[in-house]
Amino acid sequence: MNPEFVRNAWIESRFHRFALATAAVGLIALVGAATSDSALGPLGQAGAFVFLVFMGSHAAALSIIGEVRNRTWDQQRLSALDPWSMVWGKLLGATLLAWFGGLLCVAILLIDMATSEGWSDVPRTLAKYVCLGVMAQGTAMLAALVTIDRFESVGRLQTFRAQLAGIGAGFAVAAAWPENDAGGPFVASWWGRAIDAESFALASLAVFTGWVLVGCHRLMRRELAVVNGPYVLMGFLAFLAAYVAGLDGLLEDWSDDGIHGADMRLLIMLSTLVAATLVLVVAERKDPVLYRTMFLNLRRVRFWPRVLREAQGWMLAWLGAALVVALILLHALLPEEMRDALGLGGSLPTFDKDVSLVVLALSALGFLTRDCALFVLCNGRRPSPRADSALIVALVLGYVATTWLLVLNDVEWLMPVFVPVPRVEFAYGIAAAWIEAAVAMWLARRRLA
Amino acid sequence: MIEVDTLSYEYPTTRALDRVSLTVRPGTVAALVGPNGAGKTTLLRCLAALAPPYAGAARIAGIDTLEHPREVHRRLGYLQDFFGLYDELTVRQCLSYAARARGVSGGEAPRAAFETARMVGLDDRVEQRAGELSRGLRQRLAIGQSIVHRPEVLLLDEPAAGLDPESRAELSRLILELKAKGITIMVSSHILAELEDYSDVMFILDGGRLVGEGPVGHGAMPCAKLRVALASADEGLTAILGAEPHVSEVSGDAIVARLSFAGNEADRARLLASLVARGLPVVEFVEERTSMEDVYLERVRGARRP
Repeated sequence: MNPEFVRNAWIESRFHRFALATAAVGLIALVGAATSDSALGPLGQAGAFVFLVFMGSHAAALSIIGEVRNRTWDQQRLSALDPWSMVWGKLLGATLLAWFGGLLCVAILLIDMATSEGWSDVPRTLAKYVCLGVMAQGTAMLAALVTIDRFESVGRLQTFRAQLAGIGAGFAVAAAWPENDAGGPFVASWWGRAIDAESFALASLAVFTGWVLVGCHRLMRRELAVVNGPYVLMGFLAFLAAYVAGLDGLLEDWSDDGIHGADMRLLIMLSTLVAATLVLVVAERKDPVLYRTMFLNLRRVRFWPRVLREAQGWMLAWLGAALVVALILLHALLPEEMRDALGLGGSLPTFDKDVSLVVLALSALGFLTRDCALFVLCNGRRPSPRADSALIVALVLGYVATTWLLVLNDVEWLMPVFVPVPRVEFAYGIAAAWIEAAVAMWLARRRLA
Repeated sequence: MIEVDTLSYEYPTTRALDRVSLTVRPGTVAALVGPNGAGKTTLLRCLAALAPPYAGAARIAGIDTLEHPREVHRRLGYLQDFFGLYDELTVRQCLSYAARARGVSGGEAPRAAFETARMVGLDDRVEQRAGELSRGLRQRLAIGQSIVHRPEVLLLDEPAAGLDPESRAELSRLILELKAKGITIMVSSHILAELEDYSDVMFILDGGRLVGEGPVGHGAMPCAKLRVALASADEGLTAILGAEPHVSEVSGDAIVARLSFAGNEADRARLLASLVARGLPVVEFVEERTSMEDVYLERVRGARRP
């Protein structure tokens, strides 16, 4: 059996803890049965959420951060166990108690469901809760793995933050889960196909849970000194962009802005990749030594594969965003008859008379480049999570407050200097964004030297 | 067995190792010494493939730590300057887990764990929790975890820190036992006197650079330091000694003199006979032992001299 799982089970298997969990679940069942028939299900649901999401996330985060705190992590990094064994050994071993209590609560929920509505929905509900638990715990573990790379010392605060990430994932699943209150047709539309909404939600949850586990595996590989290539992350980013762009509900939200069809899908892909770049550039350790090594290797052509291998996630996401911008430009350059023949529709580069996706895309990429360079600049002497926080506040102020002030004071012509504006008359915003990006990159390069 | 070639390691604001090169032959015990912040722990972490170097290379048993870190992990044991133990687990569980995690098969692991417990003197405490052990016993358990998979190379970072004299003596015995089994060992420590008991070769780091290296014990210094004392004063003592072959750096007074002697044992006997023949009332003719500390201080001070 997996030694990591066995070790965690040795530590977790304390009789009194399992007795307490059993008593808590028994209490839930008793209260539910005593109050009313309809209370049992929701109580089981709440209990499952507490065990699987709250407790499970804490245990999963602690399975990584606890090792660093107790100074056992370096011994684990020397381990001969493969990264998958390490991930699932920890994910299942450290959360044994959470799964024990959580599955008991799910059992209460399922029994209640089976007695009131029949057995037809039971497998799907069971799958939902198993995925929910793995998703929340996997997210907490992922956050913990990011944290130990980012912070030189870790403690309870970092454990709590990683747990919060898991809880956030749990709530996001709960919030996004479709509820058919109206009782009418219950379908989701994705890339123009109508799919049963609950099946779509369950499939999406399963796929994203899979990606979370893949993420844990990739970060564990890094910790265990196994070289990570760029292709898996590239695959995830491509999937994410395609998944979000396929949500037809989003098209309706943006059609009022005069952007239609394929253009809108490209715009959604660009927005997704810009968001992914920003999340990754904040999350990842911006190590000046790594960047210096990359610059050194860039000068030697034979080291380029190594540069790609060592490229951080935000660099790959930026490349993805740049690729989408290139697609937008290509789309804009296509003759109208060819676009029609390809079924791409729209009338690029200007959709309505004054709205331009090209202007928006080019300036957005410029601002994104500037922001990434600023994050590198702020960490140019030594990686500093505090500097990141300060920069996030500054950027939010720059994007939101400045724009609001400019609009308020009727000087909208200055807006393209601060935010991407998709209007033909503001095309000079492209130059502004890229000049800012060039200055930020030059400063970052100087700081790293 | 251990080869380091112009290795440099950088932290964001400092260069912790600066073009360090050294070689340790198989089956020897190498002492890594230097002041705090010299780069000893960083060098050991680079050798353990836990920290990738900025430039240069390190090889363990011919395997490059940067190119094949996992291969390196399989072949070495590493004890950090703090012992990472799972306090809730028993000695048996700690050693069994370490064995399984370091690639020992499920069938072999219990035997490997028991043999290791016996080797580190914990076979009578296998059911005791790690958290209940004394510091010395925890240290032994940590070493046990590092050697349970029978590594070819063992890296020990400050293994004697915080140990009482008895535990230190036990540690020295254990290191010599491991050396006898053919394991190549590199030990970093501040306690130079104790390193002298088991080290074959010493490497001195200062400010991230290798400032000295050489064998430990007899022959550690190129010249022996001799002390000559007379029963009664003789004003010509230093002059007489200075005129003898193989003698240099004579200092002292009419009663006691110190000198550097580059000759062998026979030359040394001839020197004594010559002094007695000259009528000098010699009551002491001894080699002043050159301790590891003397060598260390000489090299570090030499390196810091402008």
